[in-house]
Amino acid sequence: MAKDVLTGIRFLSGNYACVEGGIAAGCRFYAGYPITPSNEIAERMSVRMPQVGGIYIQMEDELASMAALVGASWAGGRSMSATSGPGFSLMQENIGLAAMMEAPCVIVDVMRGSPSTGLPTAVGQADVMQARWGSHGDYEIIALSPSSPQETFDFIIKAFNLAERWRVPAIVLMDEVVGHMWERVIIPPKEEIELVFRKKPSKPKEEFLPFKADKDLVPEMAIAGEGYRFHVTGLTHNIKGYPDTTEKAQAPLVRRLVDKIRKNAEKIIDIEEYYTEDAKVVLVSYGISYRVCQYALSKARSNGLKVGIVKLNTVWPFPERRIQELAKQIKAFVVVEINLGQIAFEVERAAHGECETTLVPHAGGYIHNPEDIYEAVKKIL
Amino acid sequence: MEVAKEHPLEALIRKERMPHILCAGCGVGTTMANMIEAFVEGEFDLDKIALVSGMGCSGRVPGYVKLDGFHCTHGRPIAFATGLKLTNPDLDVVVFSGDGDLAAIGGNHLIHAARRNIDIKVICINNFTYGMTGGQLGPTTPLGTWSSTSVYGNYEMPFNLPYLLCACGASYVARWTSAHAHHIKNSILEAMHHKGFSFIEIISACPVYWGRKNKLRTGKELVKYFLEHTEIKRHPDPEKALIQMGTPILCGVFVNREQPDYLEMMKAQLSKRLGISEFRGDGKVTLPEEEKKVVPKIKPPKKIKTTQIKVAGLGGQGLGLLGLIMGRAASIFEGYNAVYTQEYGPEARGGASSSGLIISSDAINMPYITEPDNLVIMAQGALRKYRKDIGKDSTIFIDKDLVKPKDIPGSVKIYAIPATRTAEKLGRAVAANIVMLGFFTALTPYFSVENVEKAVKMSVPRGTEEFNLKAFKAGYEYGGEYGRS
Repeated sequence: MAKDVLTGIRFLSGNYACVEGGIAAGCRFYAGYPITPSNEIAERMSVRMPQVGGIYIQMEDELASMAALVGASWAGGRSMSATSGPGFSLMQENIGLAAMMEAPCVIVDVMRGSPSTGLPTAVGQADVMQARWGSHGDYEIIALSPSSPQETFDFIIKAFNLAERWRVPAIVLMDEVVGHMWERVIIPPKEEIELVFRKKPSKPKEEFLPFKADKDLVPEMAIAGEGYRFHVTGLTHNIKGYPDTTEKAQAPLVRRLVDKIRKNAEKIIDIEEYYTEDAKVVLVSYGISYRVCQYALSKARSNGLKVGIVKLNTVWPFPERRIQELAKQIKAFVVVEINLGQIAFEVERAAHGECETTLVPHAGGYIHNPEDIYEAVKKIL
Repeated sequence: MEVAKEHPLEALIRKERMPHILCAGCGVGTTMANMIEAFVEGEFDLDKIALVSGMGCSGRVPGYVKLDGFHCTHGRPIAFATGLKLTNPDLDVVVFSGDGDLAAIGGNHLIHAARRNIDIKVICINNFTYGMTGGQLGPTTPLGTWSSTSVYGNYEMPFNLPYLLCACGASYVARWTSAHAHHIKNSILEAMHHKGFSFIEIISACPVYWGRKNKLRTGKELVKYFLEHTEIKRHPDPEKALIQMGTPILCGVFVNREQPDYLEMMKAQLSKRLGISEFRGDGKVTLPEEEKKVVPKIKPPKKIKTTQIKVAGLGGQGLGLLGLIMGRAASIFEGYNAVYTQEYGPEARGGASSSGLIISSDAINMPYITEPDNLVIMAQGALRKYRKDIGKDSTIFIDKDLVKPKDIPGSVKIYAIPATRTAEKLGRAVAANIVMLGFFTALTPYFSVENVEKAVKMSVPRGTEEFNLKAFKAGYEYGGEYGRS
């Protein structure tokens, strides 16, 4: 039977919440390839997409999944896929295409232990830089990182809206723990879920230029089959969408692809702060690691240690301005992530030497021991 | 006499893009012109045609034709086209690309799209080489011929594309050479009317990078060679279609059969089951009106300290479900915060099964069980495995027929029930988990009977609700007696 948004109080795993977020966000095209620990997303999508008259297709690999997402986007669909590290590597080729063609779509990476095949069933957070730099060349994307099933639901909707608003691929960096943990998820009524759609052409067909941007640096988007007879290419192109390999075309195009995110970063960035007003040490974290930080923070505060948290809901674009401000008023940032240092370098760069930056590195396929975080803080204070 | 001011196809050419990049004598132009003619002659809705290509000389064609055109990454046009077609099935999606793009780097997509019989048309320019990059060896380079990466002569077996495509399930497969303009047009027309995966291979002249080095220096020489070596048959045998220098190039329509395409197969499987007649990715399917739903209000929960519950036993005992039901009761109906996790990964193999539930009226940050307050143990092996986690204040719940409570600290409370036997008596041993749930509910202060019953009803297979509630009651009553004794 048809079943649209599952309004109500649900008890869902992060992977299931991801699917319901997609349905609620109006996603009607899912292409993917099985990979642990994201499989429950594909499995539930294969149940849910048909129930809303949408498409679930299991592609032959992740190269194909990602290419299909871009095609679906250009046919006017809200498209998404889910994968994990090895599949995310394969997707990079056409994530670059989505960035170049400015095709909105959503990619979920349920991060596992790495590199290579790594730890298929265990947690990792080491794909954060790949999300940012994984495809070749200069481009920008948006990435969000949820720390619970509820946030997964919310962030998938947010990712679709940001992808459509800024015409970029949006990446949701889940992790194995968030994917497999079950919690309460409140799904609002359909009419209360705010959806943002790409800008439609406002000019007559014969005057329409597919890559002429507005003031916000984002062009209007025609879709296939509406008679605009446009051309798009992964090659460097001019505002007409034609291949143009001159400096005159390349420089403004690449600059705009980057600037539309960099110059609008403050409108996109979403962070949460806890106790930063009086903090001497600020923990910077995202995804499941943020929850472990909360645990460490409770202990630190009850022992009188002035600790705060910056939680990155959007990991990319990076909240440079706020990190720089905080750096001037604190003693140190302690970055907590399940890798051997990725966001830590961004924090250090943004802190500009105004305060110390240390990392609580972690590998091994498990979340941090909160004691390690507490000890790192104590050492500084 | 009136002189035509414009070539009949000019309206469909992006004149501003001329001159094109193709070499004199190249077969791409012939094919492109005949494709456009087929579109016009067939009176197809030109606004609904989407041309998709990958890399290479032939990949440039959508950039010259005034239709919606997508020039995507190397090898991926068929995957891209799959996204377009399934999102808007009203589109006529045509892939125009080369043999290297489609059969080498994109080979996987080619065979799987054929297998699915998805309704897209693929025009494959086979010029035996990678022209755009300077004439390297391709998956179709004939044996013994020169390429810039087989300068001693090719010793790799090339693909026989019609044979490959027929074997993979394409429902229309044809081959022509670029010397057969008329046949190209007719074949494209035929493919456009065909529903299903259509593949037209065009053996195409590349005088500059392939012909020049293989004693076929000009377009004219190549066309002459094609005409002299072509064998057109009415029902050619694809097995005999391998191209070898000096022998006939077998041409014709290898396959043209009616066969449900991907979307038809999908509808046949799903429509009746789901009551939905159409599937597409752009959200334009009208769904039956659903009742307006609201989010029910949850009462703030009674205050409880953070409590960890571990459930362990063997796979098949339904312990995942037991944990999940408790999670639902806690989270949806009691209003507690609850985190439920199942053991996952290699440790979950080999028959053992365990899950963990943390409930609290406060926020729960750490998702994993570290010091279980309660352990539900349904197999001796599970006790062996988790004995080390039992704290001095823990409470354990066992199936007394399956677990001997050995080596447990004296301070630990042990509650025992013949859960499996009780379930067996009721008719189905498989409900031992639900019997245990009733027992646990009776002896712990976390859940009300009403709320657990609600969670049971929403979690067990449809039609088994009544039986499971009976099992729950049996366990609960046993627990009640137990509590009094």
